[in-house]
Amino acid sequence: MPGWMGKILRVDLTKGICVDEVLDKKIAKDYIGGRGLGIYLLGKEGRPKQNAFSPENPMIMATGPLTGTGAPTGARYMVMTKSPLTGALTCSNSGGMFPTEFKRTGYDAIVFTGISERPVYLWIDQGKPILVSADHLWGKQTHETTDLLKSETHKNARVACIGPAGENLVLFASIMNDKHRAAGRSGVGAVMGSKNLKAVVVRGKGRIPLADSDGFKAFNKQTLDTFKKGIKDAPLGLTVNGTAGVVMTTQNFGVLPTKNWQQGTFDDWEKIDGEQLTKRFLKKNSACYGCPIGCGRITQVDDPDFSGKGEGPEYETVYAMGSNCMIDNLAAITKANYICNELGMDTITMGATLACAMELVDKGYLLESQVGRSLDWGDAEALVELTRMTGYREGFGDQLAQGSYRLADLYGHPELAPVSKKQEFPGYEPRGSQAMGLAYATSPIGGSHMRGDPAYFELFSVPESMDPHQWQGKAKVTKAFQDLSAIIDSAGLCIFFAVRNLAAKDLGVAPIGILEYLNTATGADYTIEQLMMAGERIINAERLFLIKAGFTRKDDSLPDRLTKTPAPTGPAKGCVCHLDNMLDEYYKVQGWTDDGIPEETLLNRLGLS
Amino acid sequence: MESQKRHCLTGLVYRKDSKLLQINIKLYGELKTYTPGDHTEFKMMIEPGACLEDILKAIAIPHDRFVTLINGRRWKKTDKFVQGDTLVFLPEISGG
Ligand code: SF4
Repeated sequence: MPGWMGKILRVDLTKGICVDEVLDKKIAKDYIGGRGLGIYLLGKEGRPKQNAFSPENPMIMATGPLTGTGAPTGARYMVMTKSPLTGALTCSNSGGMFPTEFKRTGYDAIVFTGISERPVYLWIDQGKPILVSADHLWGKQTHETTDLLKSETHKNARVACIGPAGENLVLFASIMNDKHRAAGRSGVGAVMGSKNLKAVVVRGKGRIPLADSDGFKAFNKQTLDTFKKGIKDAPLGLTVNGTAGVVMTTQNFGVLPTKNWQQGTFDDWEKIDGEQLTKRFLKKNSACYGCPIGCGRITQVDDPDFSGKGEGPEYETVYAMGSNCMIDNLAAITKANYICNELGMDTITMGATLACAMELVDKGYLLESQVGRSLDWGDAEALVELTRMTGYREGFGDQLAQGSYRLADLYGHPELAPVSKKQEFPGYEPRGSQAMGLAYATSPIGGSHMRGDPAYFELFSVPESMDPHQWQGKAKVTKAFQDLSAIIDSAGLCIFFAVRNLAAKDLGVAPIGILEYLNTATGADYTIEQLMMAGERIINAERLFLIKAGFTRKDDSLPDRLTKTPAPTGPAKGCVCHLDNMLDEYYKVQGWTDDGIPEETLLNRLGLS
Repeated sequence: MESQKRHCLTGLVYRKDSKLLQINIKLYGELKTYTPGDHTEFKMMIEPGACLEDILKAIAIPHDRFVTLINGRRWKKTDKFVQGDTLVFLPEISGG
């Protein structure tokens, strides 16, 4: 079964045993891998209504058939489980080198169930899995943990681990791999912590088999040549300034979330933009395995108050901890980013929760005496201190560790939380980017941009530009992008390359390039219809899980501040997000009832009934 | 070249003609290297009735990897400018 490794590893942490299982061929083709394989397994074995921290909640790590093959950006893996932050499912993905090494051990996926009595880590040395005591690592930060694990296993081993935040069940704890890469969102790290699993360490030398190696290589060369020719004229923005360069774009569209989502423009945006980051802190770029873009930033901050070294920040971090908190100090934002990486926490939820706390203080709902310090808009020092306290759940950090929704609710004002399904949004304001609002509301994991990102056509003109202020016609393209993301996430690719270079423009977003890669890698003979149907199947399987967990139309929502209060500044001034109109249209396009439940005919067609 | 002369890229009004319109232009990132003097922000005098297409001819960027916004919004290439409009050129970028 080329492309796939053909095996799933099951780890029962309660009993402390590891068992191999064969990956079914038909399942592999129908669900591709990564996110798709994750929802297949979660749908089959997960209990949608159970608590995310219960032993029965499986945590699945899965690579895709293109992971590690050398296809550009084929470097990703996906973590799938039920989220403690949202109560919905979550799938959080990450790149770096760990996913490729993981696949080379001979497994497409690992399914963790149960709870270990003592802290352990899983060590897979070329196909031989073993659970090892992690007592000596508990409490340690992610960088130190990674170094220690490499020295006690193998110097070439790759590590994914949690930090103190995951151990302390911070509801948005992440799983960090290769030190700086994060499966960041929805608290996957907390689920790992609840299982007493500190790390997964892999070393693999296995070759990833390709069905038509010559065909694969020829197509790969052609794709990369076209890509390189394209960037000869102008350097690629992502390579030059990283994702933080997006600040300039969102500011100019008036969709840079500012002051806890009260407005979409930030006067001091130039101080936190990617150009500044490049000028002041960038040491060099970093890239995931086989990626020609290299959007990662290896940075160093010399500012004595916030000094440190590491990677980041990404655009999302800059919005969440910067404009959204009215903080224009890029050194402090970068430092808080480092702390999140070392403690293992999601920077988006961290920043957004802090901004929410700032508004609670500003409006007098939360007292500074309750916070234990001043917490004004723009307070860079508070950002750094409270980020650290959150990871350790110290003082007020214990309340921040619950995310913005629970925090705002605790003080009687849940409407101040910038969330959908209790998860904080990424940095695109739906009042000036209508489809983004629809994508947040309907994302299966709550506020997210990685599960379908219509900003591509609204802001970045890919595959073509659309008026971001208009709501009509957005349902169709949003669905198309969501299906496409499901395919990209399942194949093991990164959206930054795949959306632009592997989706054919004349077909909207049909993933012609991905089809070619998948077929030469796996020999599964996908037709374009089958591949697109796989995307739909994944989206609908996720929807079914949500419905079983008790989610309904009312959960496909946005806060009133985005749907009722007109934007006060910038190009989107006077606009609100027309979610209800778009939602009606969207359910129709999906083939769902008015309540958002997939119709029987659709489920039959997708083989999900 | 002809059109470059006709429009005043550096912001100096070289022809006192009340019929001309003034618009603001901003270019970000590497795009500024395509204007004389690497100006990121300048005013430009244009003929009434000029549209985005005309400006694109004047500011000749040798590739198409950029996004244009007028007053923070998308614009058709043939829509006409009015006095005081702001035209922004953003490098193509995406991410998150
Ligand atoms: S574009 Fe960035 S995140 Fe995506 S694979 Fe390349 S380096 Fe990794």
